[in-house]
Amino acid sequence: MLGKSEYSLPPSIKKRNSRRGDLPKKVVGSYWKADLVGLMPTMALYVFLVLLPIVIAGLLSLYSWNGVGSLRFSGFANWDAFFHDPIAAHSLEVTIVLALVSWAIQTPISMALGFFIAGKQRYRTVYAALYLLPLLLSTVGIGLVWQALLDPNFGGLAWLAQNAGLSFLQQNWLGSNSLALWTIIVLIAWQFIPFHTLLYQMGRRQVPNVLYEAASIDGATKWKQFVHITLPQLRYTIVVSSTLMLVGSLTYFDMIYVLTDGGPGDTTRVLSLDMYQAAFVANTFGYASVLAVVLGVIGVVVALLLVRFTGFSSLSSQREGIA
Amino acid sequence: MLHTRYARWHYRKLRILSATLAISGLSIMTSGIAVASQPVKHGSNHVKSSKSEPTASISVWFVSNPGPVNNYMTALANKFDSAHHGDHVSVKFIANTPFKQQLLTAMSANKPPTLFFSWGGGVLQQYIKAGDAAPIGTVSASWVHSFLPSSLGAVTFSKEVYGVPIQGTQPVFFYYNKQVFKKYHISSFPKTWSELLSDVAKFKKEGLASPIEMGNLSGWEGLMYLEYLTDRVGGPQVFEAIQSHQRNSWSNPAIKTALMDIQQLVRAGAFQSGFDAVDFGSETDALLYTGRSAMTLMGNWEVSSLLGEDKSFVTSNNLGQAVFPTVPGEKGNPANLEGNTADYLAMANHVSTAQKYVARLFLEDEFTTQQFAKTEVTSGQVPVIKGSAAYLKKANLHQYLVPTYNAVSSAPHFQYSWDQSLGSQLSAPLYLNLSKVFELSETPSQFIQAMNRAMTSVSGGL
Repeated sequence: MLGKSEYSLPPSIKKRNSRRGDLPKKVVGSYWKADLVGLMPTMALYVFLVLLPIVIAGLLSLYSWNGVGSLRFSGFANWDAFFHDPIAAHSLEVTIVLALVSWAIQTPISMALGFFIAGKQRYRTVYAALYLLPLLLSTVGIGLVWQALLDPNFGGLAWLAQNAGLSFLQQNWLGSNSLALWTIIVLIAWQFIPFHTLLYQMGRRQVPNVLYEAASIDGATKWKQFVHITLPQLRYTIVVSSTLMLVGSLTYFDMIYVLTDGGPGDTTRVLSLDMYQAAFVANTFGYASVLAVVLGVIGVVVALLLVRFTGFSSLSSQREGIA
Repeated sequence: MLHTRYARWHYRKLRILSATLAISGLSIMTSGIAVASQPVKHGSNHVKSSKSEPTASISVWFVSNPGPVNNYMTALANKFDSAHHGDHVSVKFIANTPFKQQLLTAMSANKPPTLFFSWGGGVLQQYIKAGDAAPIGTVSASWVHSFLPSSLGAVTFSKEVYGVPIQGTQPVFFYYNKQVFKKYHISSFPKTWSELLSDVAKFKKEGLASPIEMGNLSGWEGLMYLEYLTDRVGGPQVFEAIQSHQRNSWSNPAIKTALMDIQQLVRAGAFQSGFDAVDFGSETDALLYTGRSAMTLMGNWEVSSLLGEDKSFVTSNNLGQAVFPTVPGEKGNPANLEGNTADYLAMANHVSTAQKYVARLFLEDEFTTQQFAKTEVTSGQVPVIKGSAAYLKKANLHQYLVPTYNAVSSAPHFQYSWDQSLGSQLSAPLYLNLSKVFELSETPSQFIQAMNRAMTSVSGGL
């Protein structure tokens, strides 16, 4: 169009002159090829390890298969069984309770700890190091250690109950229908609060101090500062942390598997554990795929809802107008 | 003396590690990326010994056991190699739960090991139905007669034998701490169920918090109570109906009586606090040998397990062994036993004819002989090979081994563990509902309803 002179024009004019408002075709073309080549390995992995299994799990949910022998098409029989399965319904209920209660416990504590270690108190880093310790341990390790500590006959808590007069510690922590789920929720909180503490610490540190200075000059109390400055400023931190907590709890598996294996009875049988049992204990892979699909859909829906209703997707700045 | 339950306990930690992988394994399985282990090499570099005899390399997968079993399996493979030029046996030991998953994957990818470890029963039957397991011989084959007749029931289907016993028999007994019985002035182990209940009450009254110890986290330990009580009350035919998936067979009154008996025992406070949050292992063993519990219902591997935990407790003859109490006035024969009849090696179908030939030769040469019976006795097992009594009398721990052998030889019926007989799809809801019965959160009627329902959906093909 403009011949050789095109290359001498400044970018703003080039853009204006181009009919589609973007870079010349030639340049776009070469980028496109390079992009494709560069993305290939990642895309291939993503397709084979993420997309394809999702599609196949969806298809497999229409078959009955015990892992050996041939697949047998069974239509929506697995789905029908899911909607009439009291164990799955109960697992779903346990999963939701676990997710919501975990969120309600972990958020305020992580926030408080995060703000504390973002401050300037003495010995702050020593405390911080102690708080963060559980983050460094493997879940299975944590599970085995707590299992030993909570054992009502030979465990550490039972020992304290008998030798230090703390008789309320003599409980059937993991074997009682009324206690087991709460014990698990507390242990999960103990494991994950450090991570969310880190998030809140970073979030808090990024809030400009001028805001607090200005507010205190205007006579705002600490509580008002928290409500009107800290919380709004931390909006995206809260969204990220909550999404991780809720979606994470939905698929939480390992520590429950180690500690109670879903028991006593099905008191702590979350949906992911139900799926594991259906696949690898009962060898009903079709039905397990139904549970996998349900779990996947719930996870995506929860994440989307959080993003949708918090305005996280628009990614607008929280600091407009701050110098 | 190791079998599915013992190994399951022992490998719980490994199982835990593999569990997280197993979850992602579901997606890998579904995507059909089957990671078959070690394909079998065909042919051989060695010179053929005879033109008429085919030679081959075969692979054998065992469920790994701590102790001497792994060693003598390897030794047998080496011995066979050196005796048969041109043949090669490669052995591989895999922990319990990964084994089941790897075998499943290898089978579905049509790259199975030539011989594989099996507990027989419903799980093996699944492979047979899928055309993945081949018969080793008929019931009239000569090697079949070297075994006690009760030992091959779990691997015999339509007059074909699909497995050769490779480890000893594992019946379930009550094991008790003699000193605790003496301390609480109970002169002998209870002979009847009502005596057991009154002894439990006596222990409780005198201040023993948990007369019976149990680790029911996985659910199989509680199942042994149901198996025995059902047999004592209603005889073997109750479970036979269940095993053949007869409609509403769980509604048999014997099941209800057995479940009520179990709940009576639980209500009496017989078991330790937290019995449903711990698996069989050093913690439950410790309750018995430290005298905090008086007894436990366990397979005969309890002896070797306790030997590892507290040797002097066993060698000083403080450990008693007793048969499950009778329920007077009921149908079952008090000499009937429950447990695992044996562990087996089964043969894959999708392997070459030469490999099948060599595999049969290996099984017959190494696992059906008196020499092998001696080896088993040395490692503390009770062989199912006829004529083993002579070796057992001379063995260490003969005070446990000889009564076990006699009980097995004279049992009119040896009930194979229900979980293994029923296969995985029914044993999962069985564990779950029975554990609820033990926790008193489900009534016997609810259990029966749930199990009838589970069986209908299994028979319906889900």
